Amino acid sequence: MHIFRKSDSKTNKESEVVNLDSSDDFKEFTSKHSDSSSLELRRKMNRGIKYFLMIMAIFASLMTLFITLYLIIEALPVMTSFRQIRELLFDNNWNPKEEHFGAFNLLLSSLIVTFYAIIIAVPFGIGIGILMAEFLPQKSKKIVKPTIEIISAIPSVIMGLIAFRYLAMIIQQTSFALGLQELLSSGRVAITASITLAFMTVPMIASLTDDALSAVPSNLKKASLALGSSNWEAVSKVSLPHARSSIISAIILAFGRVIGETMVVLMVVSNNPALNKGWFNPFQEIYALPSAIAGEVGDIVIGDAQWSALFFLGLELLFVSLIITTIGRNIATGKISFKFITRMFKKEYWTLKENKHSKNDGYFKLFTMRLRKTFTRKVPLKENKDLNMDTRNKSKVKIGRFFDDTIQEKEETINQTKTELRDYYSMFRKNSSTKKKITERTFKIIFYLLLGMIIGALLIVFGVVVYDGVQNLWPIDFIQGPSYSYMQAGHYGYLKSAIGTIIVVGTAALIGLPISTFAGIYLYFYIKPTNRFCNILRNGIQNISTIPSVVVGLFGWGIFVNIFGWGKSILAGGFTLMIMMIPIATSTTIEALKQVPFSMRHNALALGSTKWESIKDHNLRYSFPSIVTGYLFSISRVIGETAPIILTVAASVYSPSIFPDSLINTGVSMLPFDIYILGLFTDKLYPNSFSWAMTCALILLLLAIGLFIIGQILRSKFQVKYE
Amino acid sequence: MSKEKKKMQISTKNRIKDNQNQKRDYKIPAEIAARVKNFNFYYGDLRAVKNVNLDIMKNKITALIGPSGCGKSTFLRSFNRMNDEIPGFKYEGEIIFDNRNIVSKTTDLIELRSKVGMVFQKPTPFPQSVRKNIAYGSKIRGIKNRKQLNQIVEFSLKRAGLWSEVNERLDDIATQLSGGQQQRLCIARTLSVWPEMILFDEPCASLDPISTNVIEDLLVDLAKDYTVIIATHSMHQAARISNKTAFMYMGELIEYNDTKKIFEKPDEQLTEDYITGRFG
Ligand SMILES: Nc1ncnc2c1ncn2[C@@H]1O[C@H](COP(=O)(O)OP(=O)(O)OP(=O)(O)O)[C@@H](O)[C@H]1O
Ligand SMILES: [Mg+2]
Repeated sequence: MHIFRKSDSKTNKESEVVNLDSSDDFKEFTSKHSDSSSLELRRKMNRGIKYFLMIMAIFASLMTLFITLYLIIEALPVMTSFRQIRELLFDNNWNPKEEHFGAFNLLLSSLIVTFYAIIIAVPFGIGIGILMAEFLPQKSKKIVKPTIEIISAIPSVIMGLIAFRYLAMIIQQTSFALGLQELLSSGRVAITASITLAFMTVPMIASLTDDALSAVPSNLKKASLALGSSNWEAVSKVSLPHARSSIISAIILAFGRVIGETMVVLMVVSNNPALNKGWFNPFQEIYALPSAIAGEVGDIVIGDAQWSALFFLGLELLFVSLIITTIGRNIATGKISFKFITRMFKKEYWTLKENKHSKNDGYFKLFTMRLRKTFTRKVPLKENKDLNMDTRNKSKVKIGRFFDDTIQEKEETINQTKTELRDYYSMFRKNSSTKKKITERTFKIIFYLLLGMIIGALLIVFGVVVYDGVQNLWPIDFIQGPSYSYMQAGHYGYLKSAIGTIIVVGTAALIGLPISTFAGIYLYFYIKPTNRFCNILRNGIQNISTIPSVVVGLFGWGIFVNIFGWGKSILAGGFTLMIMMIPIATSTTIEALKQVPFSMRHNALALGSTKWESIKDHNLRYSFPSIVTGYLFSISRVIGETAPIILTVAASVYSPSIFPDSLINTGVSMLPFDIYILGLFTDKLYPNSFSWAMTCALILLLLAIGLFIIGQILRSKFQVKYE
Repeated sequence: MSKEKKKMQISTKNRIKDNQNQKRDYKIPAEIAARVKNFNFYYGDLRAVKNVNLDIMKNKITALIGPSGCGKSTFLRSFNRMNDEIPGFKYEGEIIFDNRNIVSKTTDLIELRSKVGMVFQKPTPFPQSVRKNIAYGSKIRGIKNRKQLNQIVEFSLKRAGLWSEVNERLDDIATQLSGGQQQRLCIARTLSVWPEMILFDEPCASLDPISTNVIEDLLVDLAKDYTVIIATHSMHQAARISNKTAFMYMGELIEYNDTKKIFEKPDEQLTEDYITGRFG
């Protein structure tokens, strides 16, 4: 009966009930049970589980490395000489048939599309973000925010289809009506894709802006209001500058995400790598990196030069988005500062009043000195941000915090407030109040207009899909998939593809969700947030989400389809989508775990439970509804992924049964693929193909948005507040 | 910068200084429940408990008093090693309990914690039924017999003086109970595994005066069977219920003596100042 491990455990299992009438009875009874044989088992279990969780977390976080390494290996044949690499990176003659692989224009095309998409999305995103954070009443925010977020749940292939059929036409006709044929002879140009991508990016920028502004200490804003500033002044002069770095980071992160987006550009823009109209002209046809990968992978010989070149493109795309995203994240965490840019625009910066140097020193010397000072300035590091960028500002529970915040922290914010206020105080006095009101109202109106436009566009998208797609919903054709011969006769059925989609995504969920949950539990409970190992694991998992989906598809195609020899099949597709699911599900799991305070676990520990028991019986159990909500959310995010499934599963198959026959070596018809294929057919060759594409889009939209909305509702329902 | 970083890394490693010979016999007199020797505790570089020496008497109530941030909770949590949950902790010295040094690497925390129970400041019932709350400690120890579990629940609730209030609603969710009842539920939960020592960290801080009185009476009663250590801000509470009082200040143990002596004629000026409310 010692409290040490070596204690000999004499087992005596009590099967009959012992009467506990007096304290002595009870004492004897519990002492008998305090060193039963199960203790050793519990300890082993505790240790075993810990290692199991660790392996899962390591596996998940090594995924990015696997993918990168594999891409490098496959791309090696075209990287043997410096000349070859130079050609790939800087030449602009992309002609695979003649073995010319100059991919410079492909990268440039991607940059053009992305650049204009972001330029268009930024005013909308920031405007709506400000509106949500500062002006909308709490009640309407509760409706507006999820509505805006629904946009991000629309599968990109549907947006591509709509833009291809409608937006391109509208743009073309407008340009003809305005007599701008020379500028714009076709609608299938970069700007059309940019507009579509911008629409899809607005929710990301808006919600990150909203988070950043909501994270501004409320006393800061209140204090400036108390000094007589208008609401808008408080926002523009206090909150916005305070949240500046987070907003800039949001924009850069959005850039990193859009550049990997495949389907819209692939479907909307006519492929043309020439870029005749100059480098930054958006009114021309382009050929973007992801389009090249997704479009050309189908018809190449394994192992030839084009194969390697495509993997090189994948690698290039991966690195570009990784670098951009890393920069964005580091700005958010304060490791890279953009303050010096804004400072340089101020007069005082150059006049250097406080400087000790005399005027005789010369302008150049002062300039260089100033520069050196700005760049060597120490930037305070903020805390390591959590996995989920969207929600990182919301959580207040800090890992490892046992009790209340330290007083020191509070004092820091107060001091910060004081100094910032002093800076702004003088400004407020200058403006007169009527002028203030007018500016405030003007900005408010502009923001509401922006919001209205976005919601209008969302409604139009829904409207178009429903209007065009609803006619084919009934009667259900139980067997047919998009088989060409049947299509020519106008026959098609969506049911089989819907089932195929569910099966493939279900396979992905079956493998990916447990891994993510285990990894999330390990990251949240088992590693100290200050640990370097923890940072590596977290960043590893986070980085998966920055890999463009087409690159994941390329990896899946190389590994699962070809090397494992599974062919295009459910397994290959399931594993590929699993990779995409892991980062999302891991971060939703961590967010869910954060909702239950550590004190639950501590109370269990104080009763003598092992660490694993304290997690399993309490924190995990109480947060499980939220974790399941996260599952739904993750599934809704990958169900519309198109590029990866084009490469790994989807095929136009005709077979007499609704369900696929085999897990490997048989392609499956899936909704996103059907939308892509049917959408690009012409109605002359295949009657009704467009309306059938829209029917598929409607079903897919219902699946994706349905899961998303159910997830949102469940989330708000299960968000238990533990005091 | 790099030096700082290195320092951080060293300090965040959890360490327990354990250079004593394991075979050494830690015999302490029978009337002493725990003996603290040259004990230090660090949060990273912050030394929160400084060189404390004292004896905790068996079946007595020992009160820890002192201004906020003086290290009462930290010291208290060392007795069942709950401090291990905080990143960057470090123990130094000895706490001898059950003839062993519990601040040692080889200590089995599961067994230690079933012998040294703890009740936290905020009542934290698990969001489950009252019955499940109490039975949890026994269930994880492998007791599955329902009748037996019910007996344990009944006994523990009776001992905590809660039985008459909740025996009709054993299957209600425990979070529906009043704050005072919740705290007594937490006490009953701790009693269900029969610890030898129970640690209370300001158990009445969030309760109304009546519930506080009930719990204070309960503590006096519990001291017949258990050794009790309580950290408290209330001088009245310490004076009313405790047998021994330790006054801590900035992590140091300033004075430790019989409660009567401390409150009537303390040896140290600092203690007197604190008790008479003469410092802020
Ligand atoms: N988790 C932690 N991490 C780092 N430092 C901590 C932590 N918890 C407490 N401290 C520090 O240790 C010192 C002692 O804290 P402790 O909570 O033990 O004081 P206390 O006497 O219980 O105070 P109170 O009466 O306010 O509860 C304080 O300086 C506190 O800031
Ligand atoms: Mg305390």
